[in-house]
Amino acid sequence: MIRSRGVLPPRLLVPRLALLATLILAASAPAVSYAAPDEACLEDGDALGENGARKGVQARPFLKRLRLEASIWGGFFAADLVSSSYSYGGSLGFYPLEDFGFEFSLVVTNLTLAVEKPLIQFFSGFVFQQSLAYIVTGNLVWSPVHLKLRVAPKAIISGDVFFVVGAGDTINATSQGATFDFGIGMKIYPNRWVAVRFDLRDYVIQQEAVGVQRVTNNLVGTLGISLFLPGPRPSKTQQQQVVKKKEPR
Amino acid sequence: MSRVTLFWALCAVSTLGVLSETSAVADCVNEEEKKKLIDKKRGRRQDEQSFVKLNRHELTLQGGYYVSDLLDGTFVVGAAYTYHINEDVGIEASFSFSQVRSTVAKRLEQDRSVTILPPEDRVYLVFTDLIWSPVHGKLRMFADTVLHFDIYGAAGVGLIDNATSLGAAGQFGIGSKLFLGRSWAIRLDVRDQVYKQQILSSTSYVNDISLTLGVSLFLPTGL
Repeated sequence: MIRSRGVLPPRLLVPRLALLATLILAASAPAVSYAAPDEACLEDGDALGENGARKGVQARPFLKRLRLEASIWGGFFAADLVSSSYSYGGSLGFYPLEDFGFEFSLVVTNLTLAVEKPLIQFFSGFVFQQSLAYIVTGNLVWSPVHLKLRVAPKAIISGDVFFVVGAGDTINATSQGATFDFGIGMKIYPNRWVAVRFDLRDYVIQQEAVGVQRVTNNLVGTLGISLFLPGPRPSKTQQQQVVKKKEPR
Repeated sequence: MSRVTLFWALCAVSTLGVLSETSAVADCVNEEEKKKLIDKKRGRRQDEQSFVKLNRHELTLQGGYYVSDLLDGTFVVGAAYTYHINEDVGIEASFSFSQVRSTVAKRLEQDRSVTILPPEDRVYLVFTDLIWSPVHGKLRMFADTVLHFDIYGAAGVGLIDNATSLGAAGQFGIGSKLFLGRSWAIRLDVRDQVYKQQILSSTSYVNDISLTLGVSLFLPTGL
Protein backbone atom coordinates (compact mmCIF):
# COMPACT_ATOMS: atom_id res chain seq x y z
CA MET A 1 0.00 0.00 0.00
CA ILE A 2 1.32 3.38 -0.85
CA ARG A 3 0.41 6.16 1.61
CA SER A 4 0.91 9.83 1.13
CA ARG A 5 3.94 11.49 2.92
CA GLY A 6 3.19 12.91 6.41
CA VAL A 7 -0.03 10.99 6.99
CA LEU A 8 0.05 8.34 9.71
CA PRO A 9 -2.37 5.48 9.85
CA PRO A 10 -4.67 5.49 12.96
CA ARG A 11 -2.88 2.49 14.57
CA LEU A 12 0.33 4.55 14.77
CA LEU A 13 -1.23 7.89 15.47
CA VAL A 14 -3.14 6.91 18.64
CA PRO A 15 -0.18 5.72 20.76
CA ARG A 16 1.89 8.70 19.66
CA LEU A 17 -0.82 11.11 20.65
CA ALA A 18 -1.09 9.33 24.03
CA LEU A 19 2.67 9.77 24.55
CA LEU A 20 2.43 13.45 23.58
CA ALA A 21 -0.42 14.00 26.04
CA THR A 22 1.62 12.38 28.83
CA LEU A 23 4.61 14.61 28.08
CA ILE A 24 2.48 17.76 28.04
CA LEU A 25 0.92 16.79 31.38
CA ALA A 26 4.35 16.15 32.88
CA ALA A 27 5.62 19.50 31.65
CA SER A 28 2.69 21.38 33.12
CA ALA A 29 2.83 19.56 36.51
CA PRO A 30 3.65 21.94 39.40
CA ALA A 31 7.16 21.80 40.93
CA VAL A 32 5.72 22.01 44.44
CA SER A 33 5.50 18.28 44.50
CA TYR A 34 9.29 18.24 45.14
CA ALA A 35 9.79 21.36 47.23
CA ALA A 36 7.40 22.88 49.74
CA PRO A 37 6.62 26.59 49.30
CA ASP A 38 8.59 27.49 52.44
CA GLU A 39 11.75 25.63 51.37
CA ALA A 40 14.66 27.85 50.45
CA CYS A 41 16.23 27.70 47.01
CA LEU A 42 20.01 27.69 46.88
CA GLU A 43 22.01 30.62 45.65
CA ASP A 44 25.33 29.99 43.94
CA GLY A 45 27.15 31.41 46.91
CA ASP A 46 25.41 29.22 49.48
CA ALA A 47 27.26 26.49 51.33
CA LEU A 48 25.78 23.85 49.02
CA GLY A 49 25.39 26.06 45.98
CA GLU A 50 27.10 25.96 42.62
CA ASN A 51 30.35 27.41 43.91
CA GLY A 52 30.33 25.45 47.17
CA ALA A 53 31.07 28.64 49.04
CA ARG A 54 33.03 28.46 52.24
CA LYS A 55 32.53 30.69 55.23
CA GLY A 56 35.34 33.01 54.20
CA VAL A 57 36.79 35.61 56.58
CA GLN A 58 34.84 35.57 59.83
CA ALA A 59 34.39 38.08 62.61
CA ARG A 60 37.06 37.63 65.27
CA PRO A 61 35.86 35.58 68.22
CA PHE A 62 38.37 37.21 70.58
CA LEU A 63 38.46 41.00 70.83
CA LYS A 64 41.34 42.93 72.38
CA ARG A 65 40.30 46.51 71.69
CA LEU A 66 40.17 48.72 74.82
CA ARG A 67 41.20 45.85 77.06
CA LEU A 68 44.03 45.41 79.55
CA GLU A 69 46.21 42.34 79.41
CA ALA A 70 48.06 41.02 82.45
CA SER A 71 50.54 38.20 81.81
CA ILE A 72 52.92 36.01 83.74
CA TRP A 73 55.57 33.95 82.00
CA GLY A 74 58.60 31.75 82.43
CA GLY A 75 61.22 30.19 80.17
CA PHE A 76 64.86 30.34 79.19
CA PHE A 77 67.37 33.17 78.92
CA ALA A 78 69.97 32.14 76.33
CA ALA A 79 72.70 34.62 77.19
CA ASP A 80 75.30 35.71 74.71
CA LEU A 81 78.17 36.86 76.92
CA VAL A 82 77.40 35.10 80.20
CA SER A 83 75.82 31.69 80.84
CA SER A 84 72.31 30.74 79.82
CA SER A 85 69.77 30.48 82.57
CA TYR A 86 66.08 30.37 83.45
CA SER A 87 63.87 33.46 83.25
CA TYR A 88 60.52 34.54 84.60
CA GLY A 89 58.44 37.69 84.75
CA GLY A 90 55.33 39.22 83.34
CA SER A 91 53.79 42.07 81.44
CA LEU A 92 50.97 44.60 81.48
CA GLY A 93 49.47 45.62 78.17
CA PHE A 94 46.72 47.81 76.79
CA TYR A 95 45.16 47.67 73.32
CA PRO A 96 43.70 50.97 72.04
CA LEU A 97 43.08 49.22 68.69
CA GLU A 98 42.42 45.61 67.74
CA ASP A 99 45.83 45.25 66.08
CA PHE A 100 47.99 47.65 68.09
CA GLY A 101 48.86 47.72 71.75
CA PHE A 102 51.38 48.87 74.33
CA GLU A 103 53.10 46.65 76.80
CA PHE A 104 55.40 46.98 79.80
CA SER A 105 57.33 43.83 80.44
CA LEU A 106 59.64 42.45 83.08
CA VAL A 107 62.11 39.59 82.70
CA VAL A 108 64.09 38.37 85.68
CA THR A 109 67.08 36.11 85.16
CA ASN A 110 70.12 34.86 87.01
CA LEU A 111 73.42 35.91 85.48
CA THR A 112 76.33 33.56 86.04
CA LEU A 113 79.60 32.91 84.27
CA ALA A 114 80.07 29.14 84.20
CA VAL A 115 83.04 29.27 81.83
CA GLU A 116 85.01 30.73 84.70
CA LYS A 117 84.19 27.78 86.97
CA PRO A 118 87.12 25.52 85.94
CA LEU A 119 89.57 28.27 86.78
CA ILE A 120 88.65 28.17 90.47
CA GLN A 121 90.85 25.08 90.75
CA PHE A 122 93.86 27.14 89.76
CA PHE A 123 92.98 30.64 90.93
CA SER A 124 91.23 31.62 94.12
CA GLY A 125 87.83 33.25 94.01
CA PHE A 126 85.48 34.23 91.17
CA VAL A 127 85.91 37.48 89.32
CA PHE A 128 82.31 37.52 88.20
CA GLN A 129 79.65 37.90 90.85
CA GLN A 130 76.47 35.92 90.26
CA SER A 131 73.41 38.18 90.46
CA LEU A 132 69.82 38.63 89.37
CA ALA A 133 69.13 40.89 86.38
CA TYR A 134 65.82 42.76 85.99
CA ILE A 135 65.07 43.67 82.40
CA VAL A 136 62.29 46.25 82.15
CA THR A 137 61.06 47.34 78.72
CA GLY A 138 58.21 49.26 77.13
CA ASN A 139 57.01 47.73 73.87
CA LEU A 140 54.79 48.39 70.94
CA VAL A 141 52.75 45.32 70.05
CA TRP A 142 51.44 44.73 66.51
CA SER A 143 49.15 41.81 65.77
CA PRO A 144 48.63 41.70 62.00
CA VAL A 145 48.10 37.94 61.80
CA HIS A 146 44.99 36.20 63.07
CA LEU A 147 44.80 32.45 63.00
CA LYS A 148 42.62 29.44 63.61
CA LEU A 149 44.13 26.23 64.89
CA ARG A 150 42.74 22.75 64.63
CA VAL A 151 43.94 21.09 67.81
CA ALA A 152 41.60 18.07 67.60
CA PRO A 153 39.23 16.76 64.90
CA LYS A 154 36.40 18.87 66.26
CA ALA A 155 38.24 21.55 68.23
CA ILE A 156 39.22 24.79 66.54
CA ILE A 157 40.60 27.70 68.54
CA SER A 158 41.68 31.14 67.43
CA GLY A 159 44.84 33.07 68.08
CA ASP A 160 47.14 35.88 67.04
CA VAL A 161 50.70 36.13 65.85
CA PHE A 162 52.25 39.38 67.02
CA PHE A 163 55.46 41.36 66.78
CA VAL A 164 56.99 43.47 69.52
CA VAL A 165 59.63 46.16 69.50
CA GLY A 166 60.68 48.31 72.38
CA ALA A 167 63.34 49.70 74.69
CA GLY A 168 64.10 49.87 78.36
CA ASP A 169 66.77 49.12 80.91
CA THR A 170 68.54 46.15 82.45
CA ILE A 171 69.06 46.55 86.17
CA ASN A 172 72.29 44.68 86.75
CA ALA A 173 75.97 45.50 87.23
CA THR A 174 76.88 44.00 83.85
CA SER A 175 74.57 46.32 81.90
CA GLN A 176 76.15 49.41 80.40
CA GLY A 177 73.22 51.37 79.03
CA ALA A 178 69.84 51.05 77.40
CA THR A 179 68.28 47.74 76.45
CA PHE A 180 66.44 47.19 73.18
CA ASP A 181 64.20 44.27 72.39
CA PHE A 182 62.30 42.88 69.45
CA GLY A 183 60.57 39.62 68.86
CA ILE A 184 57.69 37.52 67.73
CA GLY A 185 55.00 35.73 69.66
CA MET A 186 51.78 33.78 69.44
CA LYS A 187 48.67 33.91 71.58
CA ILE A 188 46.00 31.22 71.68
CA TYR A 189 42.58 32.11 73.04
CA PRO A 190 40.81 29.22 74.78
CA ASN A 191 37.98 31.56 75.84
CA ARG A 192 37.09 35.29 75.86
CA TRP A 193 39.21 36.16 78.89
CA VAL A 194 42.34 34.07 78.88
CA ALA A 195 45.22 33.62 76.45
CA VAL A 196 48.13 31.21 76.39
CA ARG A 197 51.16 32.95 74.93
CA PHE A 198 54.55 31.99 73.58
CA ASP A 199 57.13 34.73 73.17
CA LEU A 200 60.53 34.70 71.53
CA ARG A 201 62.53 37.91 71.92
CA ASP A 202 66.00 39.19 71.37
CA TYR A 203 67.22 41.53 74.11
CA VAL A 204 70.08 43.68 72.87
CA ILE A 205 72.18 44.82 75.82
CA GLN A 206 75.56 46.52 76.10
CA GLN A 207 77.19 44.23 78.68
CA GLU A 208 80.47 44.00 80.52
CA ALA A 209 81.88 40.91 82.23
CA VAL A 210 85.46 40.23 83.44
CA GLY A 211 86.73 43.19 81.46
CA VAL A 212 84.97 42.23 78.21
CA GLN A 213 82.51 44.83 77.02
CA ARG A 214 80.31 44.37 73.96
CA VAL A 215 76.78 44.47 72.57
CA THR A 216 75.06 41.18 73.29
CA ASN A 217 72.05 39.46 71.73
CA ASN A 218 70.24 37.47 74.37
CA LEU A 219 67.50 35.15 73.22
CA VAL A 220 64.55 34.83 75.60
CA GLY A 221 61.82 32.24 75.08
CA THR A 222 58.85 32.25 77.43
CA LEU A 223 55.56 30.45 77.82
CA GLY A 224 52.90 32.39 79.69
CA ILE A 225 49.28 32.95 80.48
CA SER A 226 47.33 36.20 80.05
CA LEU A 227 44.14 37.56 81.53
CA PHE A 228 42.19 40.19 79.56
CA LEU A 229 40.08 42.74 81.45
CA PRO A 230 37.34 44.01 81.21
CA GLY A 231 35.01 42.02 78.92
CA PRO A 232 35.08 42.24 75.10
CA ARG A 233 34.24 45.67 73.69
CA PRO A 234 33.30 45.25 70.02
CA SER A 235 33.61 48.27 67.75
CA LYS A 236 30.58 49.45 65.72
CA THR A 237 31.78 47.52 62.67
CA GLN A 238 32.22 44.36 64.71
CA GLN A 239 28.76 44.80 66.25
CA GLN A 240 27.29 45.15 62.76
CA GLN A 241 29.10 41.99 61.68
CA VAL A 242 27.62 40.08 64.62
CA VAL A 243 24.09 41.36 63.87
CA LYS A 244 24.52 40.48 60.19
CA LYS A 245 25.64 36.98 61.12
CA LYS A 246 22.58 36.44 63.35
CA GLU A 247 20.09 37.63 60.73
CA PRO A 248 18.31 34.75 59.02
CA ARG A 249 18.79 34.57 55.28
CA MET B 1 3.75 22.03 8.42
CA SER B 2 3.01 18.33 8.26
CA ARG B 3 1.46 16.50 11.19
CA VAL B 4 4.60 14.45 11.84
CA THR B 5 6.76 17.61 12.09
CA LEU B 6 4.20 19.18 14.39
CA PHE B 7 4.21 16.05 16.53
CA TRP B 8 8.01 16.05 16.99
CA ALA B 9 8.08 19.79 17.65
CA LEU B 10 5.50 19.36 20.42
CA CYS B 11 7.51 16.47 21.85
CA ALA B 12 10.67 18.61 21.94
CA VAL B 13 8.92 21.57 23.60
CA SER B 14 7.32 19.43 26.26
CA THR B 15 10.59 17.58 26.99
CA LEU B 16 12.43 20.90 27.39
CA GLY B 17 9.69 22.03 29.73
CA VAL B 18 10.12 18.93 31.89
CA LEU B 19 13.92 19.33 31.99
CA SER B 20 13.75 22.98 32.94
CA GLU B 21 11.30 22.24 35.73
CA THR B 22 13.57 19.44 36.97
CA SER B 23 16.61 21.73 37.18
CA ALA B 24 14.58 24.33 39.06
CA VAL B 25 13.49 21.64 41.51
CA ALA B 26 17.13 20.54 42.06
CA ASP B 27 18.06 24.01 43.31
CA CYS B 28 15.49 23.90 46.09
CA VAL B 29 16.21 21.57 48.99
CA ASN B 30 14.50 20.62 52.15
CA GLU B 31 15.92 22.56 55.12
CA GLU B 32 16.57 19.41 57.14
CA GLU B 33 18.33 17.78 54.22
CA LYS B 34 20.34 20.96 53.66
CA LYS B 35 21.45 20.97 57.30
CA LYS B 36 22.45 17.32 57.07
CA LEU B 37 24.42 17.95 53.90
CA ILE B 38 26.18 20.98 55.38
CA ASP B 39 27.09 18.99 58.50
CA LYS B 40 28.41 16.24 56.29
CA LYS B 41 30.45 18.74 54.32
CA ARG B 42 31.77 20.28 57.53
CA GLY B 43 32.91 16.85 58.67
CA ARG B 44 34.73 16.41 55.40
CA ARG B 45 36.50 19.73 55.85
CA GLN B 46 37.93 18.56 59.16
CA ASP B 47 39.89 15.97 57.24
CA GLU B 48 40.88 18.35 54.49
CA GLN B 49 44.29 19.96 54.44
CA SER B 50 45.17 22.12 51.53
CA PHE B 51 48.84 21.13 51.75
CA VAL B 52 49.55 17.41 51.44
CA LYS B 53 52.54 16.02 53.36
CA LEU B 54 51.76 12.31 53.26
CA ASN B 55 54.65 10.33 51.70
CA ARG B 56 56.47 13.47 50.62
CA HIS B 57 60.14 14.31 51.00
CA GLU B 58 61.03 17.68 52.45
CA LEU B 59 64.39 19.32 51.77
CA THR B 60 65.32 22.26 53.97
CA LEU B 61 68.03 24.89 54.03
CA GLN B 62 68.22 26.83 57.25
CA GLY B 63 70.32 29.26 59.20
CA GLY B 64 70.13 31.33 62.33
CA TYR B 65 71.46 32.07 65.77
CA TYR B 66 73.07 29.51 68.06
CA VAL B 67 73.41 30.44 71.71
CA SER B 68 75.85 28.25 73.55
CA ASP B 69 75.10 27.80 77.23
CA LEU B 70 78.63 28.45 78.47
CA LEU B 71 80.06 30.32 75.50
CA ASP B 72 79.06 33.18 73.20
CA GLY B 73 76.13 33.25 70.81
CA THR B 74 77.10 32.58 67.20
CA PHE B 75 75.73 31.61 63.78
CA VAL B 76 74.43 28.23 62.68
CA VAL B 77 73.75 27.01 59.13
CA GLY B 78 72.48 23.66 58.00
CA ALA B 79 70.25 21.43 55.97
CA ALA B 80 67.61 18.86 56.76
CA TYR B 81 65.75 16.04 55.07
CA THR B 82 62.32 15.00 56.34
CA TYR B 83 60.20 12.09 55.22
CA HIS B 84 56.55 12.48 56.12
CA ILE B 85 55.12 9.09 57.08
CA ASN B 86 51.65 10.59 57.29
CA GLU B 87 50.11 14.06 57.61
CA ASP B 88 51.12 14.39 61.26
CA VAL B 89 54.34 12.41 61.71
CA GLY B 90 57.70 12.67 59.99
CA ILE B 91 61.31 11.58 60.44
CA GLU B 92 64.02 14.18 60.02
CA ALA B 93 67.76 13.99 59.57
CA SER B 94 69.70 17.21 59.89
CA PHE B 95 73.22 18.47 59.63
CA SER B 96 74.39 21.87 60.90
CA PHE B 97 77.60 23.76 61.25
CA SER B 98 78.59 26.36 63.81
CA GLN B 99 81.66 27.75 65.57
CA VAL B 100 82.68 27.97 69.21
CA ARG B 101 83.38 31.49 70.36
CA SER B 102 83.93 32.98 73.78
CA THR B 103 85.20 36.50 74.30
CA VAL B 104 85.16 35.92 78.04
CA ALA B 105 87.33 32.78 77.76
CA LYS B 106 89.73 34.66 75.51
CA ARG B 107 90.03 37.45 78.06
CA LEU B 108 90.55 34.99 80.92
CA GLU B 109 93.22 33.22 78.86
CA GLN B 110 95.04 36.53 78.35
CA ASP B 111 94.74 37.59 81.97
CA ARG B 112 95.70 34.31 83.56
CA SER B 113 97.93 32.79 80.93
CA VAL B 114 95.93 29.60 80.66
CA THR B 115 94.26 27.84 77.74
CA ILE B 116 90.54 27.40 78.36
CA LEU B 117 89.25 26.56 74.91
CA PRO B 118 91.03 24.31 72.41
CA PRO B 119 92.10 25.94 69.13
CA GLU B 120 89.70 23.77 67.13
CA ASP B 121 86.53 25.86 67.03
CA ARG B 122 84.34 24.04 64.48
CA VAL B 123 81.06 22.50 65.64
CA TYR B 124 79.16 19.88 63.62
CA LEU B 125 75.67 18.96 64.71
CA VAL B 126 74.12 15.77 63.30
CA PHE B 127 70.66 14.78 64.49
CA THR B 128 67.74 12.53 63.71
CA ASP B 129 64.38 13.67 64.98
CA LEU B 130 60.83 12.54 65.17
CA ILE B 131 58.53 15.33 64.04
CA TRP B 132 54.95 15.46 65.24
CA SER B 133 52.58 18.08 63.83
CA PRO B 134 49.38 17.88 65.87
CA VAL B 135 48.29 21.45 65.19
CA HIS B 136 47.15 22.64 61.78
CA GLY B 137 45.90 26.13 61.25
CA LYS B 138 45.23 28.94 58.87
CA LEU B 139 46.03 32.54 59.40
CA ARG B 140 44.76 35.76 57.96
CA MET B 141 47.41 38.29 57.09
CA PHE B 142 46.08 41.82 56.76
CA ALA B 143 42.73 41.78 54.92
CA ASP B 144 42.34 38.89 52.51
CA THR B 145 45.41 36.68 52.44
CA VAL B 146 44.81 33.32 54.13
CA LEU B 147 47.78 30.99 54.61
CA HIS B 148 47.99 27.51 56.09
CA PHE B 149 50.54 26.46 58.66
CA ASP B 150 51.56 23.66 61.04
CA ILE B 151 52.95 23.82 64.53
CA TYR B 152 55.08 20.85 65.41
CA GLY B 153 57.24 19.39 68.12
CA ALA B 154 60.57 17.68 67.53
CA ALA B 155 62.61 15.29 69.64
CA GLY B 156 65.65 13.30 68.71
CA VAL B 157 69.20 12.21 69.32
CA GLY B 158 72.47 12.86 67.57
CA LEU B 159 76.04 13.97 67.83
CA ILE B 160 77.71 17.27 68.51
CA ASP B 161 81.21 17.02 67.18
CA ASN B 162 83.43 19.58 68.80
CA ALA B 163 86.62 19.73 70.90
CA THR B 164 84.61 20.58 74.03
CA SER B 165 81.75 18.13 73.44
CA LEU B 166 81.71 14.56 74.67
CA GLY B 167 79.71 13.35 71.64
CA ALA B 168 76.17 12.13 72.12
CA ALA B 169 73.44 14.71 72.41
CA GLY B 170 69.70 14.97 72.75
CA GLN B 171 67.54 17.55 71.11
CA PHE B 172 63.98 18.78 71.49
CA GLY B 173 62.15 21.79 70.24
CA ILE B 174 59.19 23.40 68.62
CA GLY B 175 58.65 24.85 65.19
CA SER B 176 56.21 26.20 62.68
CA LYS B 177 55.90 25.77 58.92
CA LEU B 178 54.07 28.30 56.82
CA PHE B 179 53.00 26.77 53.50
CA LEU B 180 53.38 28.73 50.29
CA GLY B 181 51.70 27.18 47.29
CA ARG B 182 51.75 23.37 47.01
CA SER B 183 55.46 22.66 47.36
CA TRP B 184 57.19 25.35 49.39
CA ALA B 185 57.25 26.28 53.04
CA ILE B 186 59.00 28.72 55.33
CA ARG B 187 59.92 27.24 58.68
CA LEU B 188 60.95 28.65 62.02
CA ASP B 189 62.56 26.32 64.54
CA VAL B 190 63.65 26.65 68.15
CA ARG B 191 65.70 23.72 69.40
CA ASP B 192 67.42 22.92 72.65
CA GLN B 193 70.50 20.74 72.30
CA VAL B 194 71.42 18.98 75.53
CA TYR B 195 74.86 17.43 75.84
CA LYS B 196 77.86 17.12 78.10
CA GLN B 197 80.52 19.75 77.60
CA GLN B 198 84.00 19.77 78.99
CA ILE B 199 86.04 22.89 79.62
CA LEU B 200 89.42 22.18 81.18
CA SER B 201 88.70 19.53 83.80
CA SER B 202 85.14 20.63 84.47
CA THR B 203 82.30 18.78 82.75
CA SER B 204 78.65 19.75 82.87
CA TYR B 205 75.40 19.20 80.99
CA VAL B 206 74.59 22.23 78.89
CA ASN B 207 71.53 23.50 77.03
CA ASP B 208 72.44 25.22 73.78
CA ILE B 209 69.53 27.01 72.12
CA SER B 210 69.29 27.49 68.38
CA LEU B 211 66.82 29.65 66.50
CA THR B 212 66.71 29.04 62.77
CA LEU B 213 64.74 30.27 59.81
CA GLY B 214 64.58 28.02 56.78
CA VAL B 215 63.01 27.33 53.46
CA SER B 216 61.63 23.92 52.50
CA LEU B 217 60.87 22.22 49.21
CA PHE B 218 58.43 19.30 49.22
CA LEU B 219 58.97 16.53 46.68
CA PRO B 220 57.25 15.46 44.54
CA THR B 221 56.16 18.97 43.74
CA GLY B 222 52.68 20.20 42.90
CA LEU B 223 50.61 17.71 44.91
